Amino acid sequence: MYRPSTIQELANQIRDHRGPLLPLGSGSHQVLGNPAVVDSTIIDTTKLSVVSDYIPSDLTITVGAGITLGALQELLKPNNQWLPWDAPQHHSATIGGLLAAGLSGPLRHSAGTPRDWVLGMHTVSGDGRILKSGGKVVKNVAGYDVHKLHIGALGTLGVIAEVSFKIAPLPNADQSLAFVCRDLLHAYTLAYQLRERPFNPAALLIHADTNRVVTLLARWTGVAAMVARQVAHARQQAATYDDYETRAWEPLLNAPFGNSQHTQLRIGIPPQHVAAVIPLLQSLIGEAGALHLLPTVGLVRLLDATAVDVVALRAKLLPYTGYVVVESGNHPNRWGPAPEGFAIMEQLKRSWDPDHKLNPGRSFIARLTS
Amino acid sequence: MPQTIAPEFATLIADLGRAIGPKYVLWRVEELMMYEFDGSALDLARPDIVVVPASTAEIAAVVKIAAAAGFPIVPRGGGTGLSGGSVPAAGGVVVATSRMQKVLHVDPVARTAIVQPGLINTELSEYTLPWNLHFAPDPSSQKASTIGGNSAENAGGPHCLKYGITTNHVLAATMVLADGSILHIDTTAPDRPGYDLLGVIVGSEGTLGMVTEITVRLTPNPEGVKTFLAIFDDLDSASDTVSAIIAQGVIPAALEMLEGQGIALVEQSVHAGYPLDAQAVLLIEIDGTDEEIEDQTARIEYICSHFEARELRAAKDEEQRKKLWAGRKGALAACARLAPHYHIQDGVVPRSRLTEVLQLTREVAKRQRVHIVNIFHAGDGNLHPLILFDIREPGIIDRAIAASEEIMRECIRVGGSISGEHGIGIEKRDYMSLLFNEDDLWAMRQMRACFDAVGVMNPCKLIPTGASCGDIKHARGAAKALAAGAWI
Repeated sequence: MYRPSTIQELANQIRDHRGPLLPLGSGSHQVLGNPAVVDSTIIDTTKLSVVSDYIPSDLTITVGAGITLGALQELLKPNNQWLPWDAPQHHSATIGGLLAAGLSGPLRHSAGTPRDWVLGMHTVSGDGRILKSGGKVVKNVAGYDVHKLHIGALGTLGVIAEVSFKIAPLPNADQSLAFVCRDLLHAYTLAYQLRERPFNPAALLIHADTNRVVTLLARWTGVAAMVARQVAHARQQAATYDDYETRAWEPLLNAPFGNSQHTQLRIGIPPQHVAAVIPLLQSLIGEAGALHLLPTVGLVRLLDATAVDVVALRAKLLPYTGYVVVESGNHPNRWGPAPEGFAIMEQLKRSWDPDHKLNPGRSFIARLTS
Repeated sequence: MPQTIAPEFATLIADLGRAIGPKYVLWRVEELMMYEFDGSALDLARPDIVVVPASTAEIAAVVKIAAAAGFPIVPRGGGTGLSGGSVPAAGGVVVATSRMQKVLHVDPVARTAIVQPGLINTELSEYTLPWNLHFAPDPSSQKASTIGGNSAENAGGPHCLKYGITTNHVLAATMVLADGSILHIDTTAPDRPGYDLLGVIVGSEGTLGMVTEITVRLTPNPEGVKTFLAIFDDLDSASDTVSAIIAQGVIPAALEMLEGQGIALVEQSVHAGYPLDAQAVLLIEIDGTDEEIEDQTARIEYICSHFEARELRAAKDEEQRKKLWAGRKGALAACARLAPHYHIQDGVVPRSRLTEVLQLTREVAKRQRVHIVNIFHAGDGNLHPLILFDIREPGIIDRAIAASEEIMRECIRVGGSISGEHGIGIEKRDYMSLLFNEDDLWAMRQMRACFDAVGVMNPCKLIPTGASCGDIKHARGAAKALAAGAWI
């Protein structure tokens, strides 16, 4: 196992190593993707956690990829700042790991994904080169945004070593409501009512539990008077609701992310087609354990979908250009059909990791590297 | 005078004509001259041929034919770029998008639109007005620049301070690759497996392929908008105010600065109500719900009075607001009163370093004996030092370039970038190595080669290409000289 504490050390280790390497943050999402090759050597990135540049008045920060998102938020908080990024296990997971896994949470409804907040990166390629792209300032179009390629790449194109983020002022009000709904369609309709112009919640999440109880969770952040007006409007839209503490989101966001015993599915549907897919999703509730749906984003997670026929589900989603990924559990085809542009992706992998050292076999690009 | 076609072009022109119709293939000198330059007017190069296709299929056909004949392919939108991105540096075939201006689809629920690349930026927002939606990126060129061009350059604009730049608003793209094949990258289904190719396509300045259809995000029009003009008697107070607004956690929709001579020039030209004797003015726009506007107004008033603004004036109505903006958006043209020629810089600095870098631009102007007017996106630290000169003055071009380089180096020294929104193109290509080392550029070149192994898509742009670019230029240059001889 390697445990570099500087980027240079990381680069040397990768350059000199022969054989497969497994970049690892906190390990909280290791279940994602195909199992690592058995003889992989771990690169523990958690010592790469230096805050190299934080100027609160610029609303930017540059940190080592091994810092946890929780620690990063703690750092920002005294200056009334935050990164609006509520990824699963956000307290314990490292930012490098979360970026590599491409994970985000319900706040993406209003704040977008980390792709929108990352200003630049230092990564290390498969042949041990330290590579910079982007920068540290909030606006920058010099060069290709090659750092974006590492987001969601499961470390197969390079190891993320340092990241610069744009950050945001911490909102002065933050309030949530939970609406118990009749079914998914009811929750979906209500969600869209809550985001009618000029209103816009910070986060919207529909949660269906194993007892088929469907709840819409909505969160508003920002200027106190504005939050109050939206909450009042929301209360008028539904007969039943509960005031919901913001911290009550935590168990949902921090539930263990899949495990090898359970099949966890990720489904993506373009937002314009979500309404049409609601009956299909409704039929999966109960059969597939708990369901999470980001109604305006089109992202669904089925937490225990062992009984679901993935192939049939993929076929049903095809007309809506939706996809299904098996995030955890065993399945012969986790990723589904090769993505559009696969030949370009394969060549990119060959260019930046010529010896196929980085996480071979893990990702959608596996058929090339395994 | 009848023109004859050089034999080597004759087959190509005929083939292109068969693919898209002969009248959409331009090759006469007088037809080509319009396509020699972009908005920067510093880099000039005449294309060999210009084509004006009407569909993705026609673009694919054109690319296949031109690439097979060994001609570079240069996409072109409105031609308003400021870094030479659409100038055919190595000659070749310019592919204009002026016949592809349609809005193909609007989805008011998902808040997206599918458009053709030649659609003018403002026309999309006008089209989606009935749904109270707009396309957020608003480069100052927006009345003439196209969404295809905006995507290629990853354009910004005053309102990207709050709403983000073009890359944050593009969800899918159809692209014709160098071999004429068609790639469709669609991220509307979130987190789809695969590397984020769209992330590198936007901002690639036409060097990876030619985008022929774009799905963009639409943004709801805000409930209210309020625009202020803050007037300052010294530059430092104005730039300290900008830093303080950001540091206090107020993110206005736009935060623009004009300083020095620029204010009087704009006022004389646009009559926006800017005081002639002010040293700096800030144009501050906030938008959102009534509660948000009220909250931000109070904070902006406090900060401006703390830094001793002479006056903070709010636009009383839409007409006044438009006037204030007309001053900002027409600033570049207004400066022609000072000197007939200009070179515009696009450096970015951390917002906390604004004051010192603005001071430096004044020193540079003195040292190099040029006029420098700063009219820029202060809120995101994106400077646009406008270097003004008269080209007839001996030695002035060298001094203007020296001034420009000094400012660029300073932007890098304080941790910034050489381009915030205009792109690298030809103009800043050779400065990329100030910002990136050989390994960084290697990775970018490798990535580019994955899309276009031969290098036919908009060559000689963005990355220092060294010998290979020289080769293309030389070969094409020879062909051009021949052709030119034959034409005239």
